[in-house]
Amino acid sequence: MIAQAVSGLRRRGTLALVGIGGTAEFDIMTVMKNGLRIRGVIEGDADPATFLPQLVDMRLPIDRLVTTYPFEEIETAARDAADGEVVKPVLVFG
Amino acid sequence: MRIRAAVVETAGGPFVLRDLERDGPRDDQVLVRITAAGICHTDLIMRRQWPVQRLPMVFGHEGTGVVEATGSAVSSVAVGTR
Repeated sequence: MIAQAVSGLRRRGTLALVGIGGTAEFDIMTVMKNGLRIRGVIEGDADPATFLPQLVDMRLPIDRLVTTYPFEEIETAARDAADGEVVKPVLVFG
Repeated sequence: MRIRAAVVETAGGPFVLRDLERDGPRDDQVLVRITAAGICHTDLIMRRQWPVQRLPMVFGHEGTGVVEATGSAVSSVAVGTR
C-alpha cells in the first residue's frame, strides 16, 4: 500500500503517514528521482487550541460520540471502550 | 498536595482510585484541576503492556480542566485559564 502511494505521487509530492505501527517497503529510486517527501502526521498537525473549537463549530456530533461516566466508574468506562460499546468514554469529575 | 488518581498497581490490572501526595508544578509546568478526561485505547493498551517494574502507574493523556497554579517560567497560561 505504501509502495503504491509512493508511486502515485507527482514530482516533489508528499506522502503523509497517519497510521500507527507496521513497516513498509518502497522504491527508493522513485523517491530520489521525483524529490518526494515521506513524513508522519499526528492528529492532522493541528493546534488543538484553535482546531478543536473549529471542529465543534463544524457540527461534529459530539453528543453521539461521547459517553460520560463519573470518575469512580473508570473501570466500567474502560471495559465499555474495549468492548466497542461506546466510541469515546469521557470521565467527569464531580 | 493531595490528589486522587486512578492507579494501575498490577500488570494489566484494574484502575484503583487512590488518594496520593504529589509535588506542585515545576518551573515549566502547570497544575490543572481536571474536569473531564477521555479514555483512549492507547491507555488500555499501555495498561496491558506496561512493564511490571514501572508499576504503579497513572495513565491518561486526554485531560481538560482549569489551571490552578503555574511554574515560574510559564507565561502561556495563567491561573484560571480553561
